[in-house]
Amino acid sequence: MEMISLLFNGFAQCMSLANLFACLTGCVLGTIIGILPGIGPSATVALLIPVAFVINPTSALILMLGVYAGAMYGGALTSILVNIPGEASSVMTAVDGYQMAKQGRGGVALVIAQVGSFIGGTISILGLMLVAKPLSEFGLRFGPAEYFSLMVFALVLSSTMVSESPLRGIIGVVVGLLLATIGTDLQTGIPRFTFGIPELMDSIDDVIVIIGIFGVNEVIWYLGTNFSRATGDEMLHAGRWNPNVREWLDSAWPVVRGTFVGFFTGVLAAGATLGSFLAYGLEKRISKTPERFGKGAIEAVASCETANNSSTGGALIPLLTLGIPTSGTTTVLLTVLLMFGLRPGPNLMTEQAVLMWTVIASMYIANVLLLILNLPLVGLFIRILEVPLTFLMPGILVFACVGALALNNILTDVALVLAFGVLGVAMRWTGFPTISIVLGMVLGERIEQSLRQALAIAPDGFMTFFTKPISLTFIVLTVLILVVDTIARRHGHKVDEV
Amino acid sequence: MEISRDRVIGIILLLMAIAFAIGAWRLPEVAGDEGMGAKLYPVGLAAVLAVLSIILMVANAKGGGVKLSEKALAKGFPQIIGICILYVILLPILGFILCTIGMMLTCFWLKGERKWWLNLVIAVGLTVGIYLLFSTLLNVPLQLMPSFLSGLMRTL
Repeated sequence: MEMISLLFNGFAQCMSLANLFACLTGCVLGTIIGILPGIGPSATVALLIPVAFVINPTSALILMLGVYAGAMYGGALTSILVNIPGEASSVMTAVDGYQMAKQGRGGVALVIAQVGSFIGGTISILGLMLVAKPLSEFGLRFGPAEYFSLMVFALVLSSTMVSESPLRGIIGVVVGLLLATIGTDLQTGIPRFTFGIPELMDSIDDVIVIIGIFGVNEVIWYLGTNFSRATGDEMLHAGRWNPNVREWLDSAWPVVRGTFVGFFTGVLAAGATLGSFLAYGLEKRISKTPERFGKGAIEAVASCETANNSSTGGALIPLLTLGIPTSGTTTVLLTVLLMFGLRPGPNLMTEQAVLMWTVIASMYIANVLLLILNLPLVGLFIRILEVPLTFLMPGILVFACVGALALNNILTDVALVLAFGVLGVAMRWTGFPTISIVLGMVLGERIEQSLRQALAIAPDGFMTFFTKPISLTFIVLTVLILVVDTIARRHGHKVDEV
Repeated sequence: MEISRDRVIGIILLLMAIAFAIGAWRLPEVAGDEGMGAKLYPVGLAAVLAVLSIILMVANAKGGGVKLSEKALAKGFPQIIGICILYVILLPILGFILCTIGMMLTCFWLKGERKWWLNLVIAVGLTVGIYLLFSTLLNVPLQLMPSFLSGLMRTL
């Protein structure tokens, strides 16, 4: 009951003009970047960090979650009508969605996608509300040893599942952890690997890494590889809009299944892209007519779009309750929370109850806004594709540089942000998942501190990680993932990769 | 024998691990630093990285990333990375406005946009927009004019 009153209080808080405006801006911005290929939600939220400095934490978080939700909707639009998935998570939507549009059922696919997204998004927030509190209470029993094992587990999970090659993912994480040791050591105060450069004493700012690897990376990649304007297939007319009874019925169960698949992949570190791939695979496997998939099956569109939206709420659970980010966007959100002095973890939901419930309520509002906004404005939004990215990308590059400058007003940060952008490009080229190095750097300090604290208070040294039951569970799970993953890959069941 | 890309990356990572290990080893001992000290943690990580980089070199694992076109490697990336380096160097010399407009015009031109007046309008518009957003709304002090000009103004 307490939860419901908190939620209603949250809704009331959201109704302030500033918060509603933040929500609307986030949704529109998110939809736009969801439509544009090349710039993802992580990049956008990262670039918004300097802007977030000047507005209050509540509005800033509402704005950013609006972007997150909007991007998922926007991605579906271009997937279906133009066969250009704006986001990796809507690649699977394009497979059948574009075929549906070719058959003159593009409008139907859009409606089903939007309704599915809405249901998936809303139910996952419900899940977030239900699971958040008990999980927080569980988290209170964690000491440094438990936290260390949990973080190792989360790092291994998210770096193996997103990557074609788990070895590369883990190497990326370790490099990130090493880079995170640059700067003054928290316990002893000695400077490490600073080479006497005063700017490095304070360690490399997470925001710089994030803007560089997520934002600048996209710009350099686009400008370096594209020599002509991006063209998809011929843009199709939306055709028929009203789904008939049969189409509604066909989509009902895929939406339900997509919700659950998306939610759990979200919770378990995998993020929206894998969620939609798994949902597609599941539908195809249990379908009586799998041969229709790829030729305009409405079940596929429904389940993929539902899954990538419901993973949003799912991914927020480990972030808010345990402080563990598992995807690009949640890593950015963690950095933002820390920037505002909010430490995600078991206490966040109680100490900052008003703020957290306002943010959760805003996600419902975002979903409603997107539903109202997107269906009538499809025609307008699709024309965003005509904006040439050649003009937009250099603008984003400048935005990223000035954003980096805004942090401490030193030119070194601008150089670093560009250097990390180039590093991101090199990683993409050579098959290292960019998220791995970011996760390593963002979690690096906490991992080191909890490891050293755990060892300092443990009577039995390293054995402490194996004698504490919760810690042992995470270690066993970590080993299990590595073993299962290796065996599965040997047998050719490769995780689908975009 | 052809040297694979994985081998090259492996060697770079191995060198990085050795550099970090040496750097950490030379850190001073601090009294009262219990458990695993400030030294041992980076040394341990460097050891893990060294092992992983050797595995990478030996295993020749699949998943070698994206295949890029000759054009992107020979022309696209060097161009844009060069622009980035020049931008950082010239920013304090030319000031934000001039440097950014110049950078944008170069990018537009290299990407095949040939309508110079349209390019100029967009470059000036974006630059001024970003300048106003950050300097007035977010209070980021951006250097408006070239340094030699403001120096000249000061001497006058």
